Amino acid sequence: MRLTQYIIRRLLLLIPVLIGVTIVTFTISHVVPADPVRAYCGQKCDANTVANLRAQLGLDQPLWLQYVNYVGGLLHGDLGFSLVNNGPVLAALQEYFPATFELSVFALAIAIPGGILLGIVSAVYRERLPDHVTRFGAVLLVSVPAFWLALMLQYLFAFQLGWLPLSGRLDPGVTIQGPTGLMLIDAWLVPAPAGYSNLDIFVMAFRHLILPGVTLAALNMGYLTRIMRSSMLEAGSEDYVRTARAKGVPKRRIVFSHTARNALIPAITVAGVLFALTLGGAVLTESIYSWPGMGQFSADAVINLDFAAVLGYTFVTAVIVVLANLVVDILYAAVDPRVRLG
Amino acid sequence: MEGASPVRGGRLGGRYGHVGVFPLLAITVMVLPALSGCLTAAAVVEDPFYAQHQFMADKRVRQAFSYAFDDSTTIGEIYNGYMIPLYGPIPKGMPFSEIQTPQYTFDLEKASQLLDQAGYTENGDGLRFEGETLRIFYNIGNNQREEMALLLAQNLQSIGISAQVTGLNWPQYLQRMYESHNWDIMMLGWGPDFNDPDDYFFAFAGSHNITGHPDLHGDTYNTGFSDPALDQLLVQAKYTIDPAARSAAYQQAYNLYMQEPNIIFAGQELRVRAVRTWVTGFHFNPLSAGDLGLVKDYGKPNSPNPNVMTWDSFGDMKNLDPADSYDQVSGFADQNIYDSLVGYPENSTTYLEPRLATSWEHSADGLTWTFHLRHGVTFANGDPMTADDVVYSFQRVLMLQAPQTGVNWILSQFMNASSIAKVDDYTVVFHLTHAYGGFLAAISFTVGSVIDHRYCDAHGGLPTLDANGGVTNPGCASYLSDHPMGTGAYALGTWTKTVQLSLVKNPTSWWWQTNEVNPAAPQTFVYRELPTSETRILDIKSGTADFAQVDYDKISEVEGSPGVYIDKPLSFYIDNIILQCAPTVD
Repeated sequence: MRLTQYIIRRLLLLIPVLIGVTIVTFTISHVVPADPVRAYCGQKCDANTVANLRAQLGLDQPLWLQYVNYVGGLLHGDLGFSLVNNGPVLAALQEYFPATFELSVFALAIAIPGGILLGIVSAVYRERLPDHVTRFGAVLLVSVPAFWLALMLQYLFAFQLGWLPLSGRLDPGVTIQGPTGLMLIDAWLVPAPAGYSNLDIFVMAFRHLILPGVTLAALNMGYLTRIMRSSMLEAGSEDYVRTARAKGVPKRRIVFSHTARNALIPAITVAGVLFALTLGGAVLTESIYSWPGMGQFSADAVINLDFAAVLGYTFVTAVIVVLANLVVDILYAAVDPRVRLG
Repeated sequence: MEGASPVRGGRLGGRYGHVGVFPLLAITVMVLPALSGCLTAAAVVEDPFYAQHQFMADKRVRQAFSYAFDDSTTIGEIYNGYMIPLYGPIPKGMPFSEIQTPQYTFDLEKASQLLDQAGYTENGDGLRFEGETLRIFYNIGNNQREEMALLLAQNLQSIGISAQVTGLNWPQYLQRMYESHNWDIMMLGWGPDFNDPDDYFFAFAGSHNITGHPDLHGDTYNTGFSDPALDQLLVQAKYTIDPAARSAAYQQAYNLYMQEPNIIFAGQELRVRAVRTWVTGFHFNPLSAGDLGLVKDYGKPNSPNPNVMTWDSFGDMKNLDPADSYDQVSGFADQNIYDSLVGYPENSTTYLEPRLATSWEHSADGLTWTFHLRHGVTFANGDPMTADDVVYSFQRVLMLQAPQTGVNWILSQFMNASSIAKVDDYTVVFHLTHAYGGFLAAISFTVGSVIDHRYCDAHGGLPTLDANGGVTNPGCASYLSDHPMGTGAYALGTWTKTVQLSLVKNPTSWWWQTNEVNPAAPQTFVYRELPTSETRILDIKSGTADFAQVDYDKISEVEGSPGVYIDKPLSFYIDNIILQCAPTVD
């Protein structure tokens, strides 16, 4: 019961956060001295059409009124009209979010356990070979630019070796329209296109997921490994670990029951942040692998000054960040009994 | 506010070159000298009291600038040879382009002399125009324009003109050009709508307002250029169908215009594309992005995946309603989904073939045109195509007035909604408001596509108008923008906006009943938007893609790869260096 109340209270806190986010994003994006309508309508657009479009989109109104209209729309579930997508922002987000969600879950399913495990190994073998190798690897992964890693993996595994597809979510010309937008699930829910079985589509989707997924996972894993290692070392120097060691508790048990469990809290915090960030879309990874996700959409929106799309994107990302933090807080309580929610 | 930024994306290529951080704020990039050390790097500061450069209004200055343009470096080094020189506003291959002759050849000496004679001599610091700095802009991400801007600035500096080159993001760039005269020189291209010089010459050299023709607007680049004598000639050439009269008018207009140019015509591009050698029968037409399946040998028979043709490119398809579709990539989709009455086959720009019309005739004055329609044509949904659909389609374009693009201007020049009528089920007649030299060419553009009137009626129908002709309800336009359906050889498969569009064979199309097509043409055509040029290059090299758009400076990475060749047909796309003419106080 207390947990439910806690969650409700936290969710109510979303409201001021979102109001703040919309005000800030709205203001920033609207003070840009450039014309989204002209960019949308093109260089051959005549002045009349530009003026009509501007009026139609309400961009000729005073800024405060535009904001009021925007919030009014929001309350009715209307996120506005996206110029980049030439349609409702909501429809665009429904289209792009599942792609990013699938990619993020896949990437973090590798990165979180992998990072935590490597962090533990690194700390346990402190200053010995496994530690050196892991630390070197982690620093490398953290410092390598995303686009470079993406291009290299693409070049090696897709182009040179030909093991995996170069880009996209499915092979060119193959499409499925499922209810969830998640290819791995939709592959089983809708009839496969002619010439393919459901398993073929699932395997195809999975193979397309590997390279972008591994790219994203690698970047996140390096970070998590470093966090986990340092918090392991910190926890390892605590009194209770020394006591346990003095009592003669087996090393394995000390590592997993005492040190690792306590060291998990910072790692969970970071993992939550990473998850929220990857759900916002990875611009470079997505654009190199032509992954139709939030990153590509937001980059297009920003470049074209698609105000409504930028706002909608920020709005959704803000919700994700708040929810991720909430989940992290709940996990704290699960990992550490001293933490009380409420 | 524009501020100097350390981000410089121009050379990274691709649309995302400059999105390293999230630039919600405008980015102005001061370009450091890339070609030589001649330019001085200075912080870009927006001067609210920007001094208007009256000297730009002097045609001798613009002549001098035309002499300072180095065409051989531009073509040879900036465009790597994938460009031919252009001597005026009409691209080579278009009607009447032969009237043009070389006017300005690169000659800094001559440029200096002209400026001296005009009284713009160097001051004590060796600077002309009292040391005023010329402001040259290009749009970030376009490497060629950036390099052209730097090259021109360098040459102008060598004859004592202070010049500053600034890159702007596309929305800011267009804003500056169209909403202000707060620039001296900008770079912008021009592509064809239809095969007539009116689409180029008038747009560049006509005045913004033309006496007696309130609906016509020239000066598309907002240069402030205006010459009533030139307007008269251009309107004369526009509103007649007599080729001799048109040629004479264009010749006179050309001679006049080139003495007072508002554009330096940098060149005419070759359309460079990497193509797999297994692709057969794909023709690039300078007027369009490409017809599919409409030639006998179109296909990829000797490839691992002969049923899917894949094209890697970039550029968003925005709106597939032919009444409001204007960007090139949407045009590509529409032109394969829909048919016009007439069209240019393969790579021809000289022969118009019958499409939905099998024959046509016109009155001597060019005001009345009668078209006889093809029998037995059905839309992809099975509805028959008759005169009702043709009349409905043209009326809809003129009523709707293309709210998103304004593309209806192409038809509005010579007709209105009551200009077209049905004679019988297979005959329509146009009674034009003006005889128009480029009439057939204009209606072959996608804005002349024939839609199914029953289909439109089922999804909102014709637009409704208020008493002043303003659109109160766009009717089926909002549905058609995402759900195109026509008589073409292909139909829309799936479309994930900004990502991928696929076209699938429309088996009932009349095209497949003619003997001009390959019945074994690929079932599916996939257009993929891949912003990263490295991905497109890997795709074409590995055979994942059959066509790939490759940046000029990356062609060498593809050239010579096994199974790939570089297709480089002449396009009608021209590159312009635009000169401000009549700066007025904003």
